Amino acid sequence: MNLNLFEFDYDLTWMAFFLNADETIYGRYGGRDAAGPDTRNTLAGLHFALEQALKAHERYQAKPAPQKVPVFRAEDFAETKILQRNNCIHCHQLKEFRRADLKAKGTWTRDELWTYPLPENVGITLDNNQGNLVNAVQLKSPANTVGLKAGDRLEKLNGVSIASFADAQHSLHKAPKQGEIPISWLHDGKSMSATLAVAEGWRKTNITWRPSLLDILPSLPVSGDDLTAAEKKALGISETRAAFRQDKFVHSSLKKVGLQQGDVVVAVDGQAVEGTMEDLVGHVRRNYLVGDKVTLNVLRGGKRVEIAIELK
Amino acid sequence: MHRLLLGVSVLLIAAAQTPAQPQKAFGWLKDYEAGNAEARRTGKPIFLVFRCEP
Repeated sequence: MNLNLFEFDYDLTWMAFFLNADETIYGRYGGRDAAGPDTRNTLAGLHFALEQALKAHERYQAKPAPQKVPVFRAEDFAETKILQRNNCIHCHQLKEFRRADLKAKGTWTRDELWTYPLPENVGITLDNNQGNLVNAVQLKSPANTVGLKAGDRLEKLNGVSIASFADAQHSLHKAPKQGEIPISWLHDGKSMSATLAVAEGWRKTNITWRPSLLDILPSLPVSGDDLTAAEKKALGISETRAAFRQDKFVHSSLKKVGLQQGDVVVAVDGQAVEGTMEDLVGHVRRNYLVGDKVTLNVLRGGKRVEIAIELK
Repeated sequence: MHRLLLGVSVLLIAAAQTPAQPQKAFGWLKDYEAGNAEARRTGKPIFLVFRCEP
């Protein structure tokens, strides 16, 4: 298959394309977020996207010679050369091969982690059953700034016609890491257009579900009980903030750098996290990579202690 | 020769208002090139599904 033509989020286990025989793509259906594989997909949503594809097909006027997309196959990744002949390639490995290629060339950066941003990243929540219908617009978001409202219908985002969550994700995947994204929509039947202003970091999402990243997302091997509300109050810590007491099972890698039983972990790199110990561990997994050096901020006997660790 | 562990299914789709066609068995094709050729012959759009086989 030509990966340049059928480009999608290869961490997924299901994705649909609607296209003409000349390989003009009308639309896509599929996609997910960290909450689960099916949180964005419904039969009604698929039906809606199919209907929009059929309408696009009816309107379609063939070009004399549609431009052919250069062929790039899975086997063209250099990394596949080290696989044994006839080995199967899993979908998510395509992303791993790409990462290895970029690292070999010295061009890989952390920006590569933030693939297929959610429409929520620009402030838009789409309806699962009608994929161009705006269900909500986040306050102070790029979409809110240009005046998009709940009930509006997206027409195009970054030049891509929108009939599904997958269309929106694809359009945002192609958007710059900062700058402007063109958007057009219908408001009470009136055509509107604008550009979304996006700042550095807008593409970030929770990537911990992605199988292609399992080998580079770190674990923080801590264990213990969250402090009670009374204990937090006594230490002057907000009741909603994550703070836990390390139990007697101190992981050898952490014992080596100085973490002790009874230490109260209150932050990472000076940054407090809302929630519980699990939220703090999740924060590390979402925001750092294996090999990163971080500081655990700890209270021990009423004193502040900093413990430097290298994430694994 | 490596094989992409990816199931591909192709279905030709038609609008509900399309005049009734002679009854024939329909279903998913497993070969994209065959599906594309059939789409060219019939003028119908393609519904292409990728699924990762465990």
